[in-house]
Amino acid sequence: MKRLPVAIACAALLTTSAAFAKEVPTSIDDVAQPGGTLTGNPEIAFVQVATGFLDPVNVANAGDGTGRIFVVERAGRIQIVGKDGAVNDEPFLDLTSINPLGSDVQTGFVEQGLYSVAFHPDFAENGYFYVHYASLPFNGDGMIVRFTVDPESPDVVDADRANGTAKVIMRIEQPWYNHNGGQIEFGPDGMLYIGSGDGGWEGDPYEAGQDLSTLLAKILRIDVDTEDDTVPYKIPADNPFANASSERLMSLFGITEEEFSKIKTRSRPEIWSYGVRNPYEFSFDQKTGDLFIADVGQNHWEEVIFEKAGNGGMNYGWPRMEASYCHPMTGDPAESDCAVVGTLPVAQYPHSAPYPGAPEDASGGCSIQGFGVLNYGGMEGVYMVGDWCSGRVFGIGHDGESWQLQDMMQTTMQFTAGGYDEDGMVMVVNANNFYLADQGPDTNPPGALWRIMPAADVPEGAVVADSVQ
Amino acid sequence: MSKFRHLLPICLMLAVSFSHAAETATGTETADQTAESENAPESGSLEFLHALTNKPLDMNMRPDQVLTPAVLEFHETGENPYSGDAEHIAAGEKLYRKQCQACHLKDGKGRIGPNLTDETWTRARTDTEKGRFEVVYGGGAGAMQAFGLRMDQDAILEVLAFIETFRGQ
Repeated sequence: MKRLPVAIACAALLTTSAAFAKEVPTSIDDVAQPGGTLTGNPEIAFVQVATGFLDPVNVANAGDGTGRIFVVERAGRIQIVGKDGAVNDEPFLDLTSINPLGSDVQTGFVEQGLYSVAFHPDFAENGYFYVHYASLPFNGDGMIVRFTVDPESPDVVDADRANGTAKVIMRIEQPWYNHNGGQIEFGPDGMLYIGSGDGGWEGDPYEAGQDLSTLLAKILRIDVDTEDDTVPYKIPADNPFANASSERLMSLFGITEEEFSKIKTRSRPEIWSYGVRNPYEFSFDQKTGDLFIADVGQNHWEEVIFEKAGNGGMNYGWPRMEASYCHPMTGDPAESDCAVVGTLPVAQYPHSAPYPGAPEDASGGCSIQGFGVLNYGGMEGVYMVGDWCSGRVFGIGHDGESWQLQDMMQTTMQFTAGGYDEDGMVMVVNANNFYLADQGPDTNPPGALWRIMPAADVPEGAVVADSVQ
Repeated sequence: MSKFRHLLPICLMLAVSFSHAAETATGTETADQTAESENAPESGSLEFLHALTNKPLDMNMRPDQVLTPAVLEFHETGENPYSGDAEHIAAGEKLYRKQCQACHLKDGKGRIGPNLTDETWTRARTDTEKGRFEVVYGGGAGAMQAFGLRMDQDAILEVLAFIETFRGQ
């Protein structure tokens, strides 16, 4: 035990230094890449909580003290996992059965389906929860809908209850079947944040990333607490473009250029930040309120975006940039000369070919999936991510001087998403789905729910995911 | 898990020292492997191992499938009886189009998945037909899933016979 005081002093020192130094890189040289080391070189394990989920694609808790974990299945169901790890027989919500004409969820392409669930900060009192899904009746448009739990039936929202309480908050038109974003999450400020993809195909044909007149390729932020419940949502007054498109009289003289630049007559006030490609997963650091976005890349790089709490209005570059490099990539970026557009990511890792013509490295990834921010196990504000294709797990953190991307482990799993349990531990789901020709959300081999634990704390007898370093 | 919340914030130094003791915790057992003892290979046949973990594969992932003479022969020899057989190669090509082409591309040169047309293999074991079977059947990592859950072993031999034609070109 004599090392304890030293350890406390050490941890305190690191905590303090990390707290004031988390700045976003201004140079590509400062963007973390594989090969880094997190403070303390932490070791983690994936401990199985429950299994048998069909294409699980998200996980959340209700924050109501029940300890329930909600696992989102792509077909349109939400399953409840109890504190003891038992999965309820009946789903919490089943969007495949609320519409007598068939499922309400479009799953025709593997990136489509029910994406996520978020519980209102006052869920315990008002029973409100929100889902985001690809709507079949609306040809794959993203529907964000509020439902209200019946207090008499806290574990099952049946079809009648769902239809009787449904309030459509937003519909995001989706021109193509891919890059739909997905994650919705309440921030520490009580606002609902929405990850919205660029609408699909490849290369952002709409130029949506840099177009403030579309909700695509954005992080959106809305206030769902409307006094009048016929109003879908309110625009938070401190959104960066809250008033940029408001009608006004034109004045040409005596106005500074900075003031002119704030007039954006076509901008959408819901936009919080822009220039993202497919923010399928994002997570708030529950301790600091900082936001991490796992922005899925195109042919060559996956990236992690860091946004200090409350720091909206950022441009993350897509489709001018792919991670730290100019898009489209035409060769080795070290030999090209291009100006950075927007704010750089804090970390990035490559696909098997980091640029066209590069030597292939089969350990590369293809699709980053964010899990959550770890503030335990010796880690302070470490964003854990995994890759849908490679099965690798990376931790991203700041060591007080610079951002680090540590290769945590190689697993066999296909990761799809993460979330938190009520104790702030990071939960992860893996699926067995991919761009295969003949598989549907209910026929793919099932996936599982895992809890990320410090390797030293794995309970005896626990089922731990296979991994190699 | 509430007891672990009280470990916050855990001291760094302690985490490092604990971690050494925990190294054996990774990959101790998996849910899938609980059935393995019942599905051990019969005496005398080859042992098939997971490409990443080297753990014995469950050779009974699809209990309803028929283990054809070709499969049984393969289990003994590690040689693919369908190698060079036009009919089975054609069947393998159809399966490849459905299950493999999205990542390895039509010509096998790869994009998300590695190139299958050369003699460079991602994992050392894949320079043998047995090793390639292990990767396809039991999965490698991530998107290279256990296709033994999706296809019968006989079908996997057909796919492997087709993939072999890439390297003959």
